[in-house]
Amino acid sequence: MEMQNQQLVTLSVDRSENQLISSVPSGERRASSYCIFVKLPKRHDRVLLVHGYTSAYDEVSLDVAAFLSSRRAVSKPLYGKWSPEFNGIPHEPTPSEETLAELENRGYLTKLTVAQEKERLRTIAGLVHSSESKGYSYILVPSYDCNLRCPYCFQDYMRTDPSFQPKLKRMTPELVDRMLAGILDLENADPDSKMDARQFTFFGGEPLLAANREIVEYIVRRASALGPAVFGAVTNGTELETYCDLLGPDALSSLQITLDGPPRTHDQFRIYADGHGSFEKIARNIVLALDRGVLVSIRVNVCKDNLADIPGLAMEAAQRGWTNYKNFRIYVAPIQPTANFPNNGRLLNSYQLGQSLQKMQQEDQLLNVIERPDDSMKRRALALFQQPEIDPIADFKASFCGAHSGMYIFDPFGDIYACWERMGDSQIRIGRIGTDNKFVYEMPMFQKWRSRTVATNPTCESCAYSLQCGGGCAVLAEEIHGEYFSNFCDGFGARFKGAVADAYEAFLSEQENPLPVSEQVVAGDVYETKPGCS
Amino acid sequence: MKRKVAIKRAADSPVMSPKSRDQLISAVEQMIKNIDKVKPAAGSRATSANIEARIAAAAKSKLVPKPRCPKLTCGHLYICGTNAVGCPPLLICGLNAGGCSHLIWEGD
Repeated sequence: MEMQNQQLVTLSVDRSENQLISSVPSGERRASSYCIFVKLPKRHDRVLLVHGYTSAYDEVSLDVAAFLSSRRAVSKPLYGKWSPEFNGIPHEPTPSEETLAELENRGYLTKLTVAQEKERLRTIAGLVHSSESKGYSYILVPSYDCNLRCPYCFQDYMRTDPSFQPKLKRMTPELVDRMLAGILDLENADPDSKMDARQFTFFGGEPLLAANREIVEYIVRRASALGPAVFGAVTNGTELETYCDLLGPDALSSLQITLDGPPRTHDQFRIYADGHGSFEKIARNIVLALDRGVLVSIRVNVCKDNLADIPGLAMEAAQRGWTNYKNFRIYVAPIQPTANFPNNGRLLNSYQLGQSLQKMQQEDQLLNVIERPDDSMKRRALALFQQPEIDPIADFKASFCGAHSGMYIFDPFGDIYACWERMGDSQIRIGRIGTDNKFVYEMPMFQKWRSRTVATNPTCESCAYSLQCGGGCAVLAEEIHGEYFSNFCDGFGARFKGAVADAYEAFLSEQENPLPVSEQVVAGDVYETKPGCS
Repeated sequence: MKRKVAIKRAADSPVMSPKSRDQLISAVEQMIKNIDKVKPAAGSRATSANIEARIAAAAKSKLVPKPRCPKLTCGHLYICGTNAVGCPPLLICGLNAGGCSHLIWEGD
């Protein structure tokens, strides 16, 4: 181990634990366990520090970063291989007292022990999680039935295993009324909850099957009568034409539709039960929805099998004129392993997918229309740099998704679930709609789902990125580790550092070469809608 | 370390008057001090002492109705940006009033 200065903390290596143990005397300042060092690709002598729980972002010299890094007490990687970030970089032994004081003020240096800092993170996560839990969102499953048989579908067994046939029943108007009564009861019991409008998302199975049309319309009508409501759907888009008059700002205003490549590729993945493809049908309905002002988000599920076909889909989107609509967006997401679609080395994580797409985008600008998995993280970071009045702490995530806070999923049987990847089995429901229309909770399961935060597993509570990441998807964490209260990292550290570095470089370039006013993005653009079904 | 050597060399230089030498050392030290300054890039109010108060303020602000995104006529306020690991973008979080913290302001 290279020691930079004898005045600095003396580190020793416990080989059995492969962990660096600090010998910082009690009461002395050490580097916080939650420091994130973001290297800037175009500015090699500068580093962006981010603090994991104070949410400070600071630019410092490489010397200061190397000094701070050398004061870290615990350097054992939480996952993956460890490589020292600033090994071998000569640095001034100690920054000025003024700099040290500022590093301490912003949280990078601390007098807390490792254990005390962990306790601090747990407290903060608890506060953030209680704020997360104050809002509700509702997912409605009109039926578990679906007309497609996609090979990677996590619910495929419901349609292919005859023993699940009874599961394919449709939601009834009577159940909808009870569900809405239960929702009102839930909200009225929580004076802290406040929403501009209720948010309903249709999910399945395939929620927008022609056969579901009547019940979907009933839900939209009855839910709208209760107050402002916004409706969206995760749909395969194959039978949208039967929902024509429900598509638009006042009813189904946003749709997520999956296309897994240009026609030839898509038609190998997204197939009907008889094996034929669905691309052309979906493509016609995409235009139908776009013309009616629906926000259409095309999701491209990607693994190594169809990665090379992404340019073909981008070209298809351009040629068909979709990219001319302001209410059109397209993004990629990695296919996750399921029993039917195991990894076998062909799956990508979000980081790998982002890197691969970035490389393609450098070679072909047409692909810039496709959003990478971390583009939203980059946009958010850029906003933080551009608008200093934003407090980054507002973005903290103590939990990964609504499954651990205020999301309620209702199925056709009146069962309530927390996570849409864990539905259809009443053994794992978090509750049900009772005969008096009130929600009856299955407390052990309810508490299990609603209590998963970054403070409930040892990896996340030690991780500098935890409050940025939320701990990752519980279902995938469980599949990987066999443990529900565990982490699913999905390359988050590298993705966060990459997004923040890109955003900061972009911000600095903007400062150095400000865009003329005529080229700046002006809020206020609206897209036009075309009424009427084609 | 290189800077220390540079200062030492300047200080030991026989061709420099003591006054010039002191000025040079002072200038270099000032330069180092400036280089080593901590320059806030975001979260300018963030300190290790005010975290709880800032979380409370952020939670309160989430309960205030947000301005509508002028780019969307469909009534959405914010769009969830959590697509990275499979969360669909359809959770229109501005309406969620704190239920989801993955907000992406699409209007700017």
